[in-house]
Amino acid sequence: MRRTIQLTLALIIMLAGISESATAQCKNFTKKQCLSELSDYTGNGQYNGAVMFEGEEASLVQTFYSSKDYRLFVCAHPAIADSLFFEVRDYRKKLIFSSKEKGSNSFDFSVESTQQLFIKVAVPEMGTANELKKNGCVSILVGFKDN
Amino acid sequence: MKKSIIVCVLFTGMLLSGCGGESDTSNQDEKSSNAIDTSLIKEGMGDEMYDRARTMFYSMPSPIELQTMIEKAGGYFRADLLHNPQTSSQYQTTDQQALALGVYGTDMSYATVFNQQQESLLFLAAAQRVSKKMGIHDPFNGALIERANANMADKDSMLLIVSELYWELNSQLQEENRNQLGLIVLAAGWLEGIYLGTQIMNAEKPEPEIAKVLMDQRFVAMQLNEMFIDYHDDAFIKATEPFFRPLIDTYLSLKMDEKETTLKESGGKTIIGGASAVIYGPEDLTQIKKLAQEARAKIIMI
Repeated sequence: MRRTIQLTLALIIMLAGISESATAQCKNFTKKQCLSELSDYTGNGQYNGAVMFEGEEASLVQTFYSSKDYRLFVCAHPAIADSLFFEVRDYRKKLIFSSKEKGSNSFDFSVESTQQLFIKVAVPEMGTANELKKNGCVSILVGFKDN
Repeated sequence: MKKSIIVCVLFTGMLLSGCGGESDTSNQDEKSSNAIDTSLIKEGMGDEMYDRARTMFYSMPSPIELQTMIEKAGGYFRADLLHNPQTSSQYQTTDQQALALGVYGTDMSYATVFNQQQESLLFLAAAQRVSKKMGIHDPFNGALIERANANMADKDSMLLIVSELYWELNSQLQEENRNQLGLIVLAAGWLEGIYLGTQIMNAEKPEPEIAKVLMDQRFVAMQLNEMFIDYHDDAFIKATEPFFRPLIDTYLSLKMDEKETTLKESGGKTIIGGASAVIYGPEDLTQIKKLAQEARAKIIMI
């Protein structure tokens, strides 16, 4: 029984390590591959990153101020980058931007009056068997500058 | 033995859900991460999907953003409004420390935006002291502090450094699944920003631009309200949310003038027009100022 408990604890610790490692990898991926894409925009200091699988979606609500220019950039690991897309909608859920339509993973914009926008990122199903589902880090970055 | 295996399986599910690890989609509804909530895409991304999906990231504007808005609206620097950086070592409990970190972070942003180099570094040091007590080390690695010291005369570089610092802070808290702590740091920073803004504003004859920036915080109050609802069962949030509740509720009581969103292209960017505007009067500004002052006095108390 004691041996079983020890094994259980060992497995828990090991899995906790895997979990933390995956999150840390995502953070490092964002740092190395994504932050520079904000270019001359100042990052808003928020980390919105996670591992996403095909068939999953993620969303973000963000307040944007008038008199600022913004860049919204969605950065994804190459394994899912081609299929991933994102949409931006207003408070009434009216579509404002679709990366599928524009063929771009960044959206430069300003708002005439301060408002909340809803951002949805999706990794569509690619028809892969469950156990082989593609996955990778996805980060939603927001940068601003004075206009 | 059977019991142990069940424990293992349960923990596996919990851990993998926390990091979006190697689980298949049949396990999606077991996911319990605070940072991410994903759902299966079955019918594309229609309105129903937006309504059904639970929001996972509530990303608030940074204190730098608010302070640059106040600067642009005619704000100015007042050292007497800032919290005392020397008290940073005296906060003993985690909730006190999280609240203080939010306040010091905004004071650092305020000083940086108004190009007050010595104050920026003082508040950087204060934030570092409180962070270390909370076990937050990543943002304050040697390189960042060295860069701050070397670039203190360059406002743009300092703004980038402060922005990076926030990013490191938020990512470490998320990495360690301490999102509740992150929420309180953000909320305290937001409150400090409103406190500074309302104190700078002319009480007799409020500058319309500064007033507008402050009343637009209704949108951020909406976000904070949602976040507090998400964590309403958490003991830490239960203990700290009351500091912010009167201010949030007052903001939420303000009516909105809703207009149709318009879109136009200009210089390679999209300009989003229309949307909604906050309706307010002088008495609302007075009330916000009073509530921010009261709440701020409570959260910096040792």
